[in-house]
Amino acid sequence: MPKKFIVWLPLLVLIGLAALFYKGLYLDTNKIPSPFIDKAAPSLVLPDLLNAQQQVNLEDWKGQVVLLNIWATWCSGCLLEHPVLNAIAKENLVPIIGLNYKDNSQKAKAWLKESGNPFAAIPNDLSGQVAINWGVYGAPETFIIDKQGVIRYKFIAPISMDDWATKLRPLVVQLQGDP
Amino acid sequence: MLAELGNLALVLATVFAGLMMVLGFLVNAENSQWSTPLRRATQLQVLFTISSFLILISLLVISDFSVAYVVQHSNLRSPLFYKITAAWGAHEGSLLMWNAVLALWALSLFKLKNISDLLIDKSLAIQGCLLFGFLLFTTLTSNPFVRLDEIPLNGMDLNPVLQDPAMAIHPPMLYLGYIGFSIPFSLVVAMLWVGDVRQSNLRWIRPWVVIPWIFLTLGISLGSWWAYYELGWGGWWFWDPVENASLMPWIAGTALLHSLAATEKRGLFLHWTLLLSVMAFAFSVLGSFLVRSGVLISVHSFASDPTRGLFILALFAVFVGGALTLYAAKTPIGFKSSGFKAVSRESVLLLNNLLLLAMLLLVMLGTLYPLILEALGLGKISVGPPYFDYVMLFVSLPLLFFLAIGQRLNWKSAGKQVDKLKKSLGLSFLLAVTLTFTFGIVLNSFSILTIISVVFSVWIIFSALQVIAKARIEKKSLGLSQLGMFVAHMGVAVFALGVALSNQLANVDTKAVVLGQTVVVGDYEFNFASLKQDKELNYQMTRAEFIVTKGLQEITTLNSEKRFYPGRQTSTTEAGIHGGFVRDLYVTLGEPLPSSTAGEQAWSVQYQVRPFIRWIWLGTIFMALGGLIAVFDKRYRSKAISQEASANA
Repeated sequence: MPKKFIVWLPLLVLIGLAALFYKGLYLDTNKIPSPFIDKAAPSLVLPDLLNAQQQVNLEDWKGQVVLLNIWATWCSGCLLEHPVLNAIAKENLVPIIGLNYKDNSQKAKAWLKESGNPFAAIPNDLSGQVAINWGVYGAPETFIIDKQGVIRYKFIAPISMDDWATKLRPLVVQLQGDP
Repeated sequence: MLAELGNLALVLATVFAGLMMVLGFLVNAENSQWSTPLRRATQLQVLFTISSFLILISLLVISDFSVAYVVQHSNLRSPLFYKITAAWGAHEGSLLMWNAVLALWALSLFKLKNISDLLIDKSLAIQGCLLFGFLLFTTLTSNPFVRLDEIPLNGMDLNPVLQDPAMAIHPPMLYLGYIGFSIPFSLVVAMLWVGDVRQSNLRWIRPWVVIPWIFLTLGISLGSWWAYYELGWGGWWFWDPVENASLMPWIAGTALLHSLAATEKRGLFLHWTLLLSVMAFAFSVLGSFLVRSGVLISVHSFASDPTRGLFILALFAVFVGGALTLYAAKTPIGFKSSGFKAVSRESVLLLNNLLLLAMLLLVMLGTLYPLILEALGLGKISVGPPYFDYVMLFVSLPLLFFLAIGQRLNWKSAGKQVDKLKKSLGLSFLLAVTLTFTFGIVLNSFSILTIISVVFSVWIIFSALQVIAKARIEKKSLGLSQLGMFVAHMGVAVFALGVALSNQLANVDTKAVVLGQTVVVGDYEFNFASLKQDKELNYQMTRAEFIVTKGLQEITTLNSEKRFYPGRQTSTTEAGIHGGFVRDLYVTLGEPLPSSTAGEQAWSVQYQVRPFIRWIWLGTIFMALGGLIAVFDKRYRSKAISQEASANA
């Protein structure tokens, strides 16, 4: 009898896969509620990628709105997103902190040298521990943190220029107007 | 007018595909009168499908900007070559090419001489189903012949990263491979349908697995080669979901090749062979779903649209679900095989299949994991190379090890022969170890994993050469099938050597440099000699020239370019590469940097010395060549001739 069951197994796997794909098609691919939204940002103190002697501490940015971007060179979405981050940085509207997530530091540095560095600071999260505290599932992800150090928004997937113009930028401007 | 003709051809092609389906269902052992109309319908179907594809190409060539697709993917200034290749540069056109290739492969069934007419007719019916499904998808959601109300003066041009010779032939190669697997799929489904699953039937499928496999091997290799020199990062495989989507059918196809050998020769692994025949094509369709539906984020994705995704998903579910239901319901259970010994080619082939299956599942898991998490509401992630590089080691090293031994084992195997073999394999193993260590000591930098990979790879080559040399000395002919196998396996070894050595010995440095500055990387000195602005037909560029010297000897001059395409407002990077048999020199011009001292503009430049990297693609060429040699083995022809002879008599 076991053999009888086994021949049906591939079909069962297929049904499972098809259900998964069906669900995948209708997922809102960008905004996912994070339990961290509207909570105070977890602490973030890590050595800087470009200068390991120096600590990056999110506390130091209190009083201004910041973007926290989670990126790595092994993540193709992040590489795609990079020119958009460069454009955002050029606007000089909001500082971007680029958390380098479980990356090879050499590669990360080379990538920034070659493609431009949009980041005001680059905390180097080699172990991924800080990212876990932030509820990061992967890369790229972008948080918006307000002047009080509260997480106000989380964007998952590469930001396009369109996303920036319609979703993130208005919120940043609004938050900058808040006391 | 031409666009309407294309549309008409597309509709007729769909109608005839439907007709193939209906006629194919009507044909059975008693009603063979439907066979001739079915074959006529097939020929007309192929004619219309190919015509509509050729019409799309003509529209691109004459730059008919009343057609939306032409506007979006070509430009008056594009060279003719890229006007043509735009026909498969985007979703709608590439889908039409998918159909054209599917139709051509369906026609190839006419060439299959050793299988009953009924099986071929039923296979044509299945091909009709596939064609009907994909053509319906094309006409309803992705018609490339849609016209615009207002005719623009110029088009937007083909995506610049695709304006490259390798990228231009990469999709047709891949498609010939992916869709070629539809033939084993159709034949196996037909066998299950008719209830005629026999070793002698499966045997004739072999060339129809090997030929698509050759195309797929070369297609994937071209894609990797393209990524290496066009993306400008010096990598050759990024474990991007779309790359994985092409790798999965390749792994399934490779497993199928091997299980088919056992089925053909010894009547073993019949279930495997049937299942893998379905899987190879299933993964091809799955790949096309992943690329075209946008469920996974990737650099390769076509613009996505949930309706399209849903349509392909439905096609995938119906085709593969149908095939697997048939498989579950009608596979001959209790199919008796003669069994095999623990040390025999059969047992190693079984191991090979298990390892390849594990590899397939690991790639699939890594590719789909982000989607699984997302579907469970756990967020979106990217599983990167760290995962793949790590898990691949655990399957690829055992695969190499068993390959070295397995290729030398005989079917069934026998006691005396095993002793002889142990000696011979031991000798080649010792040679491989000696060679690796001599080489390794000279270079003084090998890690344990590199040593293991190199020893196994060299061992595979020696163990294959032993057989070839012995046959030479004894003036015996190996047979093309055997020879092909050894060549392909040496290709695997060369590939593995390329991967291990290029990874271990690479020397990479990124520096901010000003004109005239020299940077030393490894044994090489790179002098930033000049910088020029220039204009080509459809792009502007900044070209940097580097003079490379080793010691006092000038090696080469490398040009790296940054190109800007105004048609699409995008830029690309062209790396400067000096290729060699044992090493590549690779320079990428980065961004201009804010200069520190007045007047001197600094640029970020990446310098790479990558030993043996070319062996990666060389290896794949050997694999494909091995496949090609095996296809010409006379045992796939002799019977055809003798049958024809008996038919004529």
